[in-house]
Amino acid sequence: MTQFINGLVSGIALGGIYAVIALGFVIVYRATHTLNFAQGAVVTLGAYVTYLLSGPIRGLKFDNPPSLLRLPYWLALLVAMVLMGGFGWLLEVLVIRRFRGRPVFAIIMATLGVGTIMGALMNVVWGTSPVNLVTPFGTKPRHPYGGIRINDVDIATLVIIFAIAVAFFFGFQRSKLGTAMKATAFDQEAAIAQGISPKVIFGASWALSCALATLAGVLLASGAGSVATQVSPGLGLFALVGFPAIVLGGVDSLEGAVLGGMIIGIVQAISATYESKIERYVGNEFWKLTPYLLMIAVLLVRPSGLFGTKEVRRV
Amino acid sequence: MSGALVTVAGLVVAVVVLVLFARRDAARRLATSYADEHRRFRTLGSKLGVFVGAILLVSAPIGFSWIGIGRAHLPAKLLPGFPLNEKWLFVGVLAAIYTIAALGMNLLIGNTGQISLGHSGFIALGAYSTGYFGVDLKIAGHHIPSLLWVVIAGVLGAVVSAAIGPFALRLRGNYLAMVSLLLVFAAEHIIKNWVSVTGGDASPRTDLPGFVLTLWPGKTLRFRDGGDTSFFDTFFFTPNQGYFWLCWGFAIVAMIVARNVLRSRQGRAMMAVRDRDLSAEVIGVRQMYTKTSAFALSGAFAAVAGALYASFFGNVQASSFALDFSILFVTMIVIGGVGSVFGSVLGAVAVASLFDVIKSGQGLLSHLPLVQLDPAKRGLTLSILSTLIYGLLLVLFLIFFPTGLAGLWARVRRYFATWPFSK
Repeated sequence: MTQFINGLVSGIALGGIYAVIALGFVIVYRATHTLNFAQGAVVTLGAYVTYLLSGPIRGLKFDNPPSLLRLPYWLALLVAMVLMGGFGWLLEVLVIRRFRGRPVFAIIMATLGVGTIMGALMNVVWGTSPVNLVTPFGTKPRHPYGGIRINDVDIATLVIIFAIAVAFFFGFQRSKLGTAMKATAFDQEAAIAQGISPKVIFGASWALSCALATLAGVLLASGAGSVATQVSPGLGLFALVGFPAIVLGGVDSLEGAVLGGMIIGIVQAISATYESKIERYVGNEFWKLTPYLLMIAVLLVRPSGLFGTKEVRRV
Repeated sequence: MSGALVTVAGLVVAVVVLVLFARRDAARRLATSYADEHRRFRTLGSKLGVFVGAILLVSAPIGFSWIGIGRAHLPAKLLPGFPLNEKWLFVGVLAAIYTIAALGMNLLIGNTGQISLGHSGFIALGAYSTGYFGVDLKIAGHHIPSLLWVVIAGVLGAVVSAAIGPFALRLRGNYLAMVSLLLVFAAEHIIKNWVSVTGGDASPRTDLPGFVLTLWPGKTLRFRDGGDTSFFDTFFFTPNQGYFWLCWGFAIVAMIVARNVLRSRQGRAMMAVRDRDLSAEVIGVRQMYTKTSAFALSGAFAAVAGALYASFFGNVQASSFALDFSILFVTMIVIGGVGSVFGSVLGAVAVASLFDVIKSGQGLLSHLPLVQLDPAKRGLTLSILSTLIYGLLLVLFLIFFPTGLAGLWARVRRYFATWPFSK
């Protein structure tokens, strides 16, 4: 039972992170009908930028992975989110915008290409060996009751995710920009007629998505969900789990993204917890696969996900 | 220096000949009947081009000394630039293997419109199946013939890949691309856990078999093991030379298969499904059959390429079959030309040779800032530089030349064909 609860706790933290990534996917999907396959690189870059701003060593010594400043963790995270938001906007303007009206295939390939470029550049600057973020979180888990373990970073993650969700659904969605986004997603031409500039909306969507991805990357690298504890190129793989999350929730549903992310995170953490028991049947590290299996099952049973709108196809 | 001059002169002559043929063939490119359009080679120019290409391929590893056969241990240097030295032969082998896999991916993505990123998984399947069927499996104490394990790899790839067909029936575009990620991770998972066949993910399997061709009882050609091998004890060739012929042989068969599929009813059905699958079904194309067979064909190509890859290198590492490997093939078909057989070849050759092209220019590159020639150090090493260039090419081609090199070639041809009036 304690084992289960421990799994559940890290699952909720992990699910929160997936929810944030999935939210980014859905925002972009609703605006530009694009899935960003470069999101893995964005998550990693966000974490690296935070490292750049808050790393343990100041200066650009070439022997060490460069970190410029020694800002406090939270401030660095905030600045990184803003910077990455700008990066997302730039990405939309420079690359994605040129693919409007082109086949789905071209956009997917383009985002894959962008991911490859970003990965290579990060490799140049920071190398492949992982780097540690300086976090304010304690390294030892708390034991509130019996054998139950709760990490500081998991609590912080939960609080942040909850705050983000509240701010997003009750603040941003009702703000002018949020309403404009909804309007553009609903009917672009009508939105233009109301004086909304789709260019701004698309740029803002990508900016928001990249900022959220940065948050997710930093929390992951800080140890939330106990799947990664450092900034490394491998962080990108966790961003791809955002895909199962949005499929589960429905690709165009914001609420669905959050719920889908949570479910995926919990399922993954539980299957990791009981790894030793199921390993004989399904193999080592099966938990890496569970989100995708869940995604297939959902797609075959209910292709539009939990909350997504059904796709109407005409001949 | 004179070698380079002759090569340049040769290229100039080749271009002039091509231009002349382009002008001569311009009228014949207009198809006036269905039969016209479905011909294998529509013009004399393309026929001759294939013929010259075949001669170049056969002679590339040995130069043109094959005219005077009998000299032991070719190559001799008759034509400058030829023969390819060992390094470029290696690139050529890689290009042939990539060609086969890229053809498969292009049939699936370019012609049938099914976006699948699981290609690396099928290449891994082919690679590891050589380990099982070529090494582990013994029938009456003997290994099965090499050709057979290549064929088995192809069949396995086709069967496993065909199993995805039904999924593609319900999932399209973005959804299919997401689901195909499962293939990559599932392949990684299986490689990691099926240690008896794959050697696990920590240690590469190093005993993968070299290709052995039995010409007649008692006469076998060993392409890799035992260094140089020979026909009639007079005609020696190195492993790279042998594999060059072998792999391009397979690649040419693959090209013919792809071309023939595309000009048949099946190919037209695939393109109809790509353009709009519901409409295709309405005009009588069986969606299930078309999609499933496209997946099967693509998986078979990938697995054959994987088998040759494993056999050429003799060892494969689990980590090389990650998502990046699939993206490499995406890059090939985009650079070469989506939906074009010729394009797959161009893209594969471009991507396969990129690293060594960069490497041969490293003297120049080392003057640039950030460039790091020591691969163990952090910085812009050559392999990162080539990855960077792949990515850039992928994005730039998509934006500026969506038809790829094959499309550019068609444009150049059209320019000269209609010259005084072309714009």
